Amino acid sequence: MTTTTTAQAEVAAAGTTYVPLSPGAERIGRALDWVIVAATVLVLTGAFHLHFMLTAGDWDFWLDWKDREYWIVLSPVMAITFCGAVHYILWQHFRLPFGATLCVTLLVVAEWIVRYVGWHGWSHYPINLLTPAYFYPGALALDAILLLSGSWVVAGILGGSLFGFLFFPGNWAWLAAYHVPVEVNGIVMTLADYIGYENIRTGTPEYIRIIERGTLRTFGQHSAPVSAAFAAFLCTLVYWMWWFIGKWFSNVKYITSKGL
Amino acid sequence: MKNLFNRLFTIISASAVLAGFAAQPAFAHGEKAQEPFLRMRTVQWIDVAVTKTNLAVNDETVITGKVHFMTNEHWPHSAAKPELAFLNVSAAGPVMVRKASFVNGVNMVNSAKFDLGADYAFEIRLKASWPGKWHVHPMINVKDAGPLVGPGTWVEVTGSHADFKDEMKTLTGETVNLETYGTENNVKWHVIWGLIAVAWLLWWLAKPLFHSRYAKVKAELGDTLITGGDRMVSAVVLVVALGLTYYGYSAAEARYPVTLPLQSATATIPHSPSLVEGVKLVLDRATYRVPGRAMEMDVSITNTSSKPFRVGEFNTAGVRFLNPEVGVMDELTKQYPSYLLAEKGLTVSDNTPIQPGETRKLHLVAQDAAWEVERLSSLIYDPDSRFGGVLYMYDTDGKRLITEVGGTLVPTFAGT
Ligand SMILES: [Cu+2]
Repeated sequence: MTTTTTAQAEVAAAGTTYVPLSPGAERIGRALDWVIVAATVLVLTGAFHLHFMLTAGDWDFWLDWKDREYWIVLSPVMAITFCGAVHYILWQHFRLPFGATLCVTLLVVAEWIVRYVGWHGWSHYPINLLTPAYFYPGALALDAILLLSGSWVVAGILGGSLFGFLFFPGNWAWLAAYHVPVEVNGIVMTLADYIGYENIRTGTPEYIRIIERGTLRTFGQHSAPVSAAFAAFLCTLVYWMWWFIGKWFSNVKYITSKGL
Repeated sequence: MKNLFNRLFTIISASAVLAGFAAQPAFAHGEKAQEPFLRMRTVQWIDVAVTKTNLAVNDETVITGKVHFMTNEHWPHSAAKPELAFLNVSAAGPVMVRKASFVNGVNMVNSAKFDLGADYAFEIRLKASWPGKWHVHPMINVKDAGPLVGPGTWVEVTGSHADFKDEMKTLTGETVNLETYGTENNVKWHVIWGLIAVAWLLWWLAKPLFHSRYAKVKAELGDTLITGGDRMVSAVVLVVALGLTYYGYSAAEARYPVTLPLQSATATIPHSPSLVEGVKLVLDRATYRVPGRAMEMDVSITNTSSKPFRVGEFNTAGVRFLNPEVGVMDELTKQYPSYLLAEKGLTVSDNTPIQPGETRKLHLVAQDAAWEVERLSSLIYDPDSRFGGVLYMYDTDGKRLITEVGGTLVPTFAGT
């Protein structure tokens, strides 16, 4: 078996006690892979979706909450959490770098299902009011940088920053259309504001929107890039924090590894 | 394999839906579930009317009326003052879309401060979107106090939603259909990025994943797991992520050169003439007879206007108790939701007109099943046992004068 000999050569080179798997074990391992993938997908989807809705909920949910400050900062910072934890688990134990992309893909699939079925299908809210933001650009960059650098420090600084920074321009591709101005009985609004106003939300009165407030506003036209830069900085820190949360959660100190 | 994916998809969907429900805001209509003190002592809804209750899809109907904010004396201490409030609608979601709304003529797309003791005229224009029978209420959301729901009217919409048309011209000269505007582009971008993400995931899922890789990593051979192909694909993914983001952003900027940030200002509402005038009222004692579903009030009323008047109506939380002796069955009253109208609900001990300058002690009884049906009677279990409402007087010219009434309420439980 060539694989075995290669592996044995590696073992010799590294001077460790690696015993390669037999072809049979390899096959069973592959079958187990799918069981683990299925379980992971379920747990991650549920947990991440819940976490995200409880933290960045309304900003991500409604078109008329996606502002230049809170939405741009809160969303990526709340989203990079699970990406960091899953990165630790998949990279440190398996040298697999797709954790961030996996997380954000599952999140957005769950969001689409809930919004399409429940809020659009059942309650008749238009899809444009409910379109979720995506984190694909930043997550793909973060994954790629982790693999290329092989370092959680570099992944945090470069990848984490890109995760935060690419969020706004990445979503502007579809969001810009809703920031075209309209006049409503003497008041200027964006289409996003008006679509939100038109579609009656009994439990979400206008004043509840936390948008466009605070000192960031003094940056005027440049609020969005400034917010994105701030998000990039925070994402680096949060990524590292959750990298260690991942470490903590994938601890096997209570399980003996004899016989592995 | 396909079967497996189907099952997986079902399970993911189910768990996602469950996770989503946990985060959804409460949707229930729930106007009766709200504490009676909030409904009786905050705002009083006056002359609420709906122009059309039978509509076809695309037809418009207008809810009009006045709302009286109770003075500080009656406004509950436990509810925030209306420093910031929003004129809203309570309905089953966007089955009708709100085209415009006004308070005292001011555009109410924004929130505003309202004053205690003041009166406001409102107007809400709705356009029918989905066929069905809908219960529609005017409503005022007060920040930190909650939704204050007005009287609800049944509106029946016929036709097909497929015919619904909701167009608007932007300031850049485009005409857009608000219901579907941009949706296709949203989905397009989600799909493009989603496909790239799936391709990246598949690159890895095609390899043996956990078992064999774990063994190698633990043997400190992890770095040998990364192939040249992996590096190449990662580099490509990085370049694509950056390049496509740049492209998408620039394309959007080129397509929509004029964009504004989300708008959120607060409106300023001018006062309208007060409805409360010409009457001075002192509440001597109020009791609620539980078995009789009757509230009894001993009041001293002074006529400070120039014409004699009589007591015609007690109105609280949208329930109207009329004094049949004074005859106020006007057009508005005839159209008023019958479940909120007690046509003979108010008995007044003396129906002879109160002369200008005269003060008279009166015994008023407001009695109707509505106390129970609207769950107002549970106010006797509130921690402060107070009620509020307004009395309508009608003078000899038929003019209406309004005064607030309210105070402590003593329940009587024995059947007398
Ligand atoms: Cu109702």
